Amino acid sequence: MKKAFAILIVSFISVTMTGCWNYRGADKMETVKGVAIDMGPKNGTYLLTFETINLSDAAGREGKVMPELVESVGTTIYDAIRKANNKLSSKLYFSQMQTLIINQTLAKEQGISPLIEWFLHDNEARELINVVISGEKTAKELFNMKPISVDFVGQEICEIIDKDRYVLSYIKSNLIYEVYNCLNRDGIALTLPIFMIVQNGEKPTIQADGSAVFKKDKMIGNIPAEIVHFSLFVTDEIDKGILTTDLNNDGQDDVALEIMKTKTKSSISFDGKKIKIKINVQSSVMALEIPPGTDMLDVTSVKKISASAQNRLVQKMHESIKYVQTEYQKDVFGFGKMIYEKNHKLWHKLSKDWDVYFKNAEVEIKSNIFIRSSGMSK
Amino acid sequence: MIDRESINTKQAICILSLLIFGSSAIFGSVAGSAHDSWITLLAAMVLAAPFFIVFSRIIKLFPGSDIFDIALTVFGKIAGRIFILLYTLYSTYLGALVLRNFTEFVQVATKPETPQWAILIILIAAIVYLVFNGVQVLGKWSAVIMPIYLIIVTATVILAYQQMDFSNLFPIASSDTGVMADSAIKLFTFPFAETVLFLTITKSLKKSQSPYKIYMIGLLIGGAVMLIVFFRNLFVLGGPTMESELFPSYTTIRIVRVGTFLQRLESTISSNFYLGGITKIAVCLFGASIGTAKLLGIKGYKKALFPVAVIMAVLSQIVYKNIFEMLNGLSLYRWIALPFQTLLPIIICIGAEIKTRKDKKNMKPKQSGNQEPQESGAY
Repeated sequence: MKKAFAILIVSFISVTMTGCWNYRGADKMETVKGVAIDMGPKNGTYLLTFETINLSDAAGREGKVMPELVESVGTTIYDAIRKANNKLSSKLYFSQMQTLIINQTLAKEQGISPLIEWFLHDNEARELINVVISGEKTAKELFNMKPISVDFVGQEICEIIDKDRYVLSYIKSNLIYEVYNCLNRDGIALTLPIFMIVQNGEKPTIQADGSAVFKKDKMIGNIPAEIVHFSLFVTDEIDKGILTTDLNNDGQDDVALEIMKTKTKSSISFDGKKIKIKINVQSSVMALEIPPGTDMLDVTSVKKISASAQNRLVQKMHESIKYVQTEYQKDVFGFGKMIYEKNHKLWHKLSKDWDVYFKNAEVEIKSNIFIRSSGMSK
Repeated sequence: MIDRESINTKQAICILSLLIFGSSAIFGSVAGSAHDSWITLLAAMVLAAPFFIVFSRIIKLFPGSDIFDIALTVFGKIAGRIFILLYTLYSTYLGALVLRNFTEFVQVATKPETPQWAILIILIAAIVYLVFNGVQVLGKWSAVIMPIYLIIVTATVILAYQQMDFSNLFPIASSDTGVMADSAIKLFTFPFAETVLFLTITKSLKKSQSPYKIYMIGLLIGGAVMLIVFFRNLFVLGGPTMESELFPSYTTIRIVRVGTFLQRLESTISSNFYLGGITKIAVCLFGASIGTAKLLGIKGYKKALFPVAVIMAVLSQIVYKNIFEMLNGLSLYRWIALPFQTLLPIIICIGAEIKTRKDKKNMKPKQSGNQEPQESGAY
């Protein structure tokens, strides 16, 4: 009798008390993969474009999912999101959202803080959203492109960024919670990747191209991709990549080294007037393209290649720091953050005029490149 | 009868540790000094240690009793009853607060459309069942839950390693000293000194068990787990995000990912949170119902259990209007709770010392008779 009662209670609990209060099936959810924010038709409004997953073909032939674009206008971001429901039979669902594309004019004029507010507060939208800036006139035209490897532009952008650090290291990206940290932290200026439309043979597609640099939360300009690449050496954010150099000094690069491991150590000091930064890069590489006829078993040849690559790296890193110092005076490298972490009292003294100190900072760079091997052949 | 309701030292340590980190681990930081929160945590532990010695001393002087019986023995019928009333009220209030923490967490983080009372009813039903079955069941429950909790916390720390940025630790001790002292007191009152409520179930401890061992090891384990959780949150989130998030531990787990297949692990720490919190509320419910039973002269706490549970549940819904009141309320709560956690135990301890010295001197032959608890086999 007692056993029967216990089984009854357990069945009752498992049937009625597990699950959701307001269950929605997958067919009643419009899953959003990416969102693009542009200016709305009227002043003070936003035009949001949602790249959603259309499941209507999924049950059909091959289960192919197609992107579906939904547009909506509102006075705030959340207003636009809710107004989208006027067009849809299902509510938008944001837990799968991977990318947020922001119109660069909006980023320059309004700043991105009000735009990312909702995504930080809402519990559906995750902290791992990639925030990027559109290099085109609008943000939504990026969604019109057909991605090369996957079905959705939002997913493609996210995957380009994710695999970049293991392949090329040309993109400095920030997830939305890292954007928040950057904006509220001392001593580092925000940068976000820029995505543009380029021709890939016949068809146009999207490509990452440089970074947007920000003053507080307003965009003030963009940094070319190669400068970004060498700035990643300065901040020790390179995982993999390649280094090319011109061994014969004939104007044509003839050596390509694949970076297997690289570590940058920086130290910073203040002598009362100027900031002095010492940077030391230790890299371990594989020589995969060398001038034909080079004898890799000859120690002097290997040393020549290392030395040439070292010089090239140091020169390029100097160039990238100089570029940011002169063009924007914004500390995207986090030198201010280094001072704040070591000596916060000194930072409080310098923080007001940090842009000036950063502009006049002296940088000394040393590089040591160790060539581990040359691949499969000598 | 006594043997059925006894808990061994290991189970007691588990109950105490779960009391400490059960509901605080989800909050992961104290506002205003996020990246120095580990310093304030250590300060709170140091502050709590002498009071833990006071709590242990109270049990040591009267082994096999709980704080209600000790109050009656030491202060007599009238003053003792006032003590019992005060601790019953405190237990009820604290239980209601922790219940509210839970239902708010569920509503904010996981299911915004589920009404809080739906979660509350299911939660309180489970806790009432746990308390109904006695302290020994609570002890066994804690002994099972502790390893599960620790394994999950360790696993999240290991999985979070890739997302950790150790420079988030710096600058060390840069927050304003006043703010840090403020946070240390907050951490002291919530959760360390709440272990005073453990004294309401010490009837199930035998004379041979050392209360000092229970309290000190509990302090170390509880504090260590909270420290690990703080560091994990700090290294993954960074100062600004940690300060702005309502539930930093939950946000940390949302970020943790290993490759593409292991991600979105929030349910592990949500369930962890529940396991710890159920233990804490169960102890509060024990204290409240035993105290109510003693006040009203009812034999056994089970008859008082259901009404007290209903009162606690209803109180949890009305104590704060919204989550902002709940988060700000911690500043007020500590001043309300401090007398119960510091002043009253010291008074009881002094009274107990005087009483035992007097008994030793005057009534040596009758000593064994006087120290027996008033109600034995009451469970």
